[in-house]
Amino acid sequence: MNAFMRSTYPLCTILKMVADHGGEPRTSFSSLTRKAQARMLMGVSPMDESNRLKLSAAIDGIHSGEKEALGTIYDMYGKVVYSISLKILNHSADAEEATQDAFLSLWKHAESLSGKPAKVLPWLLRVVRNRSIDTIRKSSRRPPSSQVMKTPEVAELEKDHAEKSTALDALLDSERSDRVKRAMNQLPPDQMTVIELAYFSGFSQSEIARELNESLGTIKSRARYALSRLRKELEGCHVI
Amino acid sequence: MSFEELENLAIAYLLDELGESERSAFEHRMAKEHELAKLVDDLERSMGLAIMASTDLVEPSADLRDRLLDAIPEDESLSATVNEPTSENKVVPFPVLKATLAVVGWAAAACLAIVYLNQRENFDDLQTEKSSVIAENVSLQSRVGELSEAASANQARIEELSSSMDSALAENVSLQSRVGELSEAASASQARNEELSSSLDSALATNESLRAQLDQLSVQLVGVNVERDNLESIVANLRQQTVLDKVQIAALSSEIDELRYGFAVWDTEGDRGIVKVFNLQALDIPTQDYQFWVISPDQEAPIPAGVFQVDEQGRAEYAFAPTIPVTSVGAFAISLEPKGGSSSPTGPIVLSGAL
Repeated sequence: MNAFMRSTYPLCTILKMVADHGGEPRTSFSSLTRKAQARMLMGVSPMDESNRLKLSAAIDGIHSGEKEALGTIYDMYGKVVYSISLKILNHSADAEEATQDAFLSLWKHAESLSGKPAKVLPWLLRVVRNRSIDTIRKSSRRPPSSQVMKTPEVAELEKDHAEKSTALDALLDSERSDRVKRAMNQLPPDQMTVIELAYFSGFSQSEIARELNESLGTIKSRARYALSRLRKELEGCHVI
Repeated sequence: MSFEELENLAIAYLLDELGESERSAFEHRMAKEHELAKLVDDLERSMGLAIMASTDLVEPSADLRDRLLDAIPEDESLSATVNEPTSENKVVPFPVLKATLAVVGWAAAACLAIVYLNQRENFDDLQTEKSSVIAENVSLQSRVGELSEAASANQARIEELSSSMDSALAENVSLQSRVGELSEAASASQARNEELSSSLDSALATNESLRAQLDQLSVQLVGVNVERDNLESIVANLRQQTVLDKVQIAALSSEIDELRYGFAVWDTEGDRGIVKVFNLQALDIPTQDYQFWVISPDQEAPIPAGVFQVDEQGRAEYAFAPTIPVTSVGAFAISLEPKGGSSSPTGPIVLSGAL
């Protein structure tokens, strides 16, 4: 099976999407570079390509000192970054401060992301997560255990609660968003629980082992199985 | 390190669980190993997707965007903007006198603030530089550790190889000695082999020669037997004839060589006879003769009856007559005598036979 056949979008769909966006110079198929056209034919949507170009331009703008360029990136990822921080901190003012810090840090380090638009969101998520965890540690405040310390039963129940709008829905089309959710639903609840605890609570894997009364090896295995499985299931699934 | 261990390390890195030196070493390794960097990227992307999928989307305050853009430092120094006064703590004007003092005070404060900010900026730069140096130092320490381990491993390997080489050399010397011994043994065996081969050739040649002689003698024996049979047949015929009444025939033979034979015919009325011999040894003509003897019951000693020689085949036919008259004859004999003969036998009896 070649790359084209693996494509998320059949050629007719791509052509229709190109036609729908034909009036906008940034999404016109013929106006794209040959590399961008090739990416589109390999499954990258015109919207992805448009966002990629917009991000690249914004990063270059930041490098040139254009404040509005940071605003552009905030418009794209601000809600997602804030939502993640809020889930960690469970405190809106702190979450906004962490979000602001993350974007200001991007302003300072934009040069390192020049030409790597796909790295911008992972970079922001990493920074805001670290800032949020730091805030928790400084204030000796932990998020309510009910929020992050889900029992496998609770996690199982939440799987069925699929209609809620998630941070992922703000970034991906429904097809890819559903693909991610399907991949997560295939994971045993205890594995996903370990990932969420580690990510949102800032607990180390040793602390999680103590909290769940499991061995450290078991917790590490669960985390590795979960991420390894997700990595395989979500191969080629990018935000942009 | 197995792939599972590498994945565990990558996950710990992504969850910010590594210590400073471990993180620095891991990033150093990532910078060198493209596959590891891709693994980390993929894991981070997958984790990000899962985390976002499990996070409810919440709108931040509407003015967060404006606050963010306002907070951007003009000189790209975040620390400078963080300490800028906000709208909530702006300065309220004082009366003039106080204002003057306040101006002086604020000027001093401003100077101190400038000095502070400048020092803070320098401090931040130094902190950044220090962090960078520490990270580089940790990376270098890690690298030195790796090289040290590699050097130790190499040294151990060299010692192992050296030991192996010593063993191999000792074995080589032993083998060379053994090869020398075997070479000498092989040379001795070769010489003995050649000697035996030569002896065998000689024995074979002798055997061949003896076989040829045997064949020749066998042929001669067959001939002698045939001739003897013929003679016996002749004798038998003659005996049947009346002439045989006047002659006596004696068969001559040798006790030491059956191939030698002959016969003598004695004329009883004429005191003479004829002797015919076969296969006698040829003599040294100048010094030796065969001598024929007549043995009579009337005489004590053999009576000489002449000497003769044989041809190359050892044959001779000789007419003899005793040197003195005899009335009866008992036997005949032939002996080997000095040239010209003897008055009585001195040499060995070659053939003899009675009538």
